[in-house]
Amino acid sequence: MNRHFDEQLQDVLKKIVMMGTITESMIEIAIRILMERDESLADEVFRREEEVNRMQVEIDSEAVRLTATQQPVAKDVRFLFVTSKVVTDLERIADQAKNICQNARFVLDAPPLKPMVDLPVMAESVQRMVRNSLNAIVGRDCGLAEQVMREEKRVDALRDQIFRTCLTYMMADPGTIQRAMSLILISRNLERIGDHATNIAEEVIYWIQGRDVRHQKPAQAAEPPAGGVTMAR
Amino acid sequence: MFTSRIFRRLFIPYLLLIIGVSVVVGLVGRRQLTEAYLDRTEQALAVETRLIARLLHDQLKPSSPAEGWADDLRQYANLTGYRITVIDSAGVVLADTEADPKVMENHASRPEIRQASAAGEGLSRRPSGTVHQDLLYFAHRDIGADGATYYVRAAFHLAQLGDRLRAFYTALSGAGLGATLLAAAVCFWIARRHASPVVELTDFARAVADGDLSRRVLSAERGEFAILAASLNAMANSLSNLVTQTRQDKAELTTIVASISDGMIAVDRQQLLLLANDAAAALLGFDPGDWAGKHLWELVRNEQVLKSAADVLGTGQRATYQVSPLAGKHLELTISPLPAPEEVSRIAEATTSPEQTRIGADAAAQAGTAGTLRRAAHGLVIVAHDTTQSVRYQDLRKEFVANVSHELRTPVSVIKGFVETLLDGAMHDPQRTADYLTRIEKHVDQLTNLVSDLLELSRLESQPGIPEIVEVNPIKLIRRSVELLAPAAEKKGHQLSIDAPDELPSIQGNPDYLERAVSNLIENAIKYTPQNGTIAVAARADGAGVVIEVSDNGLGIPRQDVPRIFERFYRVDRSRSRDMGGTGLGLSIVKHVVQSHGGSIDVETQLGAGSTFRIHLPRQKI
Repeated sequence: MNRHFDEQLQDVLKKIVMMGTITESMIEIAIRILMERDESLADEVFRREEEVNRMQVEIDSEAVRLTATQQPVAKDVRFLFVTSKVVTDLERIADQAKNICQNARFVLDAPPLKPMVDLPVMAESVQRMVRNSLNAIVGRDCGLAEQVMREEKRVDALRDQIFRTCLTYMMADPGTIQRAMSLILISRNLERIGDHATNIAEEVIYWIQGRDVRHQKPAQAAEPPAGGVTMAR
Repeated sequence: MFTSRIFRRLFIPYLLLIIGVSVVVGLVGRRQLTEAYLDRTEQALAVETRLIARLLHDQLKPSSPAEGWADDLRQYANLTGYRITVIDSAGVVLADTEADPKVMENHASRPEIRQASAAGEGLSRRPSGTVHQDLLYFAHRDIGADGATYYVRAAFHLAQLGDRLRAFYTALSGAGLGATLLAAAVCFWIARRHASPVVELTDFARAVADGDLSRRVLSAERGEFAILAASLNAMANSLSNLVTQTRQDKAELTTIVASISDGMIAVDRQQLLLLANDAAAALLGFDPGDWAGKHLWELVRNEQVLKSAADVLGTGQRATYQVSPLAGKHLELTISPLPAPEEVSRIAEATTSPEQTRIGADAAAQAGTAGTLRRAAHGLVIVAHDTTQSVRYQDLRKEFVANVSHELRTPVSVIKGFVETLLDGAMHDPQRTADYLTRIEKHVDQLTNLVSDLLELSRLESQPGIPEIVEVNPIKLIRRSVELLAPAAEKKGHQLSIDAPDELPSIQGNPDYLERAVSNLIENAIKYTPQNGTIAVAARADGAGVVIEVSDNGLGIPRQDVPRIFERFYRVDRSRSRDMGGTGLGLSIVKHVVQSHGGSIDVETQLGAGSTFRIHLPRQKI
């Protein structure tokens, strides 16, 4: 019975990782659409988004079923609750990836506004955050999860930077407003993905160590913002 | 030895048995002996009392005690060691050998006297009221010489008997203890003799089970144990051989798998990794030292790979998948289901026993088909083949065909346009006819150039070696090329100079090819340098060969284009290049010529500052 339960938990973990892998590939494709200016890939993202939605429902109901029927204790309870939250975050990440594709259309309609520098860096950072948060789940690695939480500040800084750059373009030439706005929205989408990755990382820490690290002040984290330019908000 | 269970099982029960027997025998013997002794003493006491009574019979006159016979009485007492008492019928003590009769109480109530008065003789064993010692009494009734009844009573001190018995007991227990010790020693020896081979064999078996296959049983004893030891030794030998063989086989297999350039992974039903080589780790992007005990989905985070693996686990059918960019690589995954272990052994059996090959093969085929039909795969073998290179080649070929078609169509459609215009009536206007025909000629020239370049390139590619190898003087080679292109350079106002020593070692090669290569470089320099540029052709000896450099102060090449300029039809700026009459094949031909001569080419360039192409040709193709 117990062994059976362990296998079922393992199965849930496997499904989360599969879902995460699909989500990761969605971000990658969305960024490729932007960088390679190839809009034909968007269908791939939409198809995957539906699959991710389906998986979210499936994993969530499995977690509820196991909680109800197996009377899990301690770490297993936390795992099942964390599962529900993680799949929600993953589903939101997938949504954001879809949004990037939709916003990308406006950017690709017109010639490039400027050589993209910050956006690829930001995308890479966000992708790394998502990958590491999933790796933290797979490897039950709190150190990796904390790394993800630190990286979030960098992503925020990059978003602010993109915002400022686009603002100057818009002020100079109203014709660029649509493209610049879309870029700002995309940077916001990426930043949201980073937030969700951070949530996953926090949930991993809660699962492994049973301590809640949500909504802690940066002072408590004792970590200065890494890289990038910070901006008064 | 003492910790050995079998030794204890043999020794302790025997020891207990021996001790038990000794104790029982001792106790019974002691009891019997005591009784026999007591019997014997009683009999002697009775007989001697009767004798004493007989001796006293004539002179005893109870009415006149202690007259003469009292001395006799004392004498008898000394002889026999008894205490002798004479008592009259009323129980009054007449004489006693150990006490004063006057102070002694009436003895009529003593048990032996009462018995004697009733039956003539009486026996009793009790402590004496007078002397306070354990005594054995015997009383004999007699009729004295004066006709009165009296009793002669003799008493034996049991303490004497006790002393004697005690000495006897001591001897008995001594002997018993000695015998027990001796028996225990013998028992110990026997137990050890039986236990030690078992202990040795046990130690041996345990050592073998723990993996010490070099251990052997040394027991030289004869009989069943020797046979057993020999069989165990033989077993250990074959086991050791088997293990060595298995280890070798495994090491061989591991080495083979590790040295395969394709990635190889075996997983079980739960996708837990059983085996993975370094190539697989590199291709699928996981740590080659950290895959043991992990699941495929923990290591390879690629949707396509995971889905294909799950598919094959479900269907049990081998399948091939193209997995596109995985860490920038293209992979071809062949995923085969792994049969269950029992099927593997059946198949192995079928292939190893020749006489059963047919039946076995049938069985294996049956097992195979039944296995795939009945249930899903037991595990998977994933072979990952890196197709990045061939995908790139395919792309290049597609690009080439597209390029050739495009390059050919452009001049042809231009020519067709002019021809149509001429046919539509322009040919009646001599001025326009001449103009159009000139333009047509220009495009026909370009077509001719293109076709001849293509032919040359395909000839260079199809020929493995270089035809007509002769000694070529590099200085002459440069001069001829420069002379040939001097008019073109002059036209654009370029300064074309040669910088070469008077003497250079000659190189072996085809002069036409080499001239073509150098000319192409100079031609490019002329083309891509704006008016009034400087072009320098230099040659110098370098090691075992010659270096020819063509440098200009022209446009230069953007950094990202540098790796591709030697590709066919690759142009940094398409529109401008074609206007200049290039075919897009020039540098390709140069590269081919240089490589077929065993040389190398490199380029140094800076955007807007010029480029230097450097050909290194060895003295002789190695």
